[in-house]
Amino acid sequence: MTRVPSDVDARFRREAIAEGLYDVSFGIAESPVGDLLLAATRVGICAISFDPDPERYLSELSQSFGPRVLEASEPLEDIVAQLDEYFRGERHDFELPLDLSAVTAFRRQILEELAEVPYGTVTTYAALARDAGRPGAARAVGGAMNRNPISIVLPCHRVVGADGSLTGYIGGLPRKETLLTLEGASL
Amino acid sequence: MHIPPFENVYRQYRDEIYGYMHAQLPREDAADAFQETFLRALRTYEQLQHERELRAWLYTIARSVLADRARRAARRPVEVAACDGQVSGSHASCEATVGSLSDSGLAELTDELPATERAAVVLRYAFDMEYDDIGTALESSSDAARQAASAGVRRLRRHLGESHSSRDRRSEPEPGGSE
Repeated sequence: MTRVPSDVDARFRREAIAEGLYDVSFGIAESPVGDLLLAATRVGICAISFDPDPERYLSELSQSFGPRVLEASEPLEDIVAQLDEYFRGERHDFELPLDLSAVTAFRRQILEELAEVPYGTVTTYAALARDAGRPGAARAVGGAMNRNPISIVLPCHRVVGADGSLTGYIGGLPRKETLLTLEGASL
Repeated sequence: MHIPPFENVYRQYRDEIYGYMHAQLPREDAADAFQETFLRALRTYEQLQHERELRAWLYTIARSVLADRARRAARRPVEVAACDGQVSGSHASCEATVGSLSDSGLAELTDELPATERAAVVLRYAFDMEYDDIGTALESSSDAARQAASAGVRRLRRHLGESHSSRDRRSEPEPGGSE
């Protein structure tokens, strides 16, 4: 069967993005903690996942943001550049619009509080719950971390157990340790 | 109602749709038609009610794109290669007729043809497309495409005949002229 030439494929994708004919664009980016699946709506970044298998992820994105899910690099150029800077240790804060419209109000509140945890520091689930005005909701905070759609940029790797142990991480403990070490956090 | 992520549909059918365009158009035109097909698909994808018949839906769009291109091509002035006149039969006769028009103001003459006939004539004799493909492009059948091209050529012949007759008359000495 005739295959679509890569330049024709790329031209279609560029044109679709330029015309705004997408709900979600996605791409795979290499990083020191493995390949990352990145996704953005026209509002902002909506996903950074350690699971780079689009097949499993696209349906979820489609149901959350709309079915016009398209692989395209242009809408992801800023996040890719800022992640590169972060992994080189040159960036401590991300300056990106985020799209948290698919997140429940409670989890959004927790994630917005999480975004305030400074680079190179750690906090606890209980402290995060308290800062969000939900003292006693540490377990629910843990749930919100487990379902954090935008890893790294929303730094759930900076949340540790009350005894300072790493506990769990959406991308696995080795990645959590790598990120905290990169940031120079005291473990 | 759940429809699959567009990327999945695109990956499943992109080669097939490109092949369909490539079989009928030069590479650059095929690339344009391919792109237009999937851009149109994206424009209406959210309105789909179900994921059945996605392939048929894409082919409907692809045929529509080809038909639009054919109509645009038919409106453009075209140059038709002259026929060498050494072949025989009705097809050769058509080619000879259309070929001779290149020296006789084809653009003006085909402008007067009904849109479908002009499209069929142009696609057959300028783009050398098969009748099956012309039928697809015009959203009709191979037979209908053949008939449209044939009717267009007959109409052109009549125009040409009238044009030649008129020229001949103009070149003849006026009865009782001063020559």
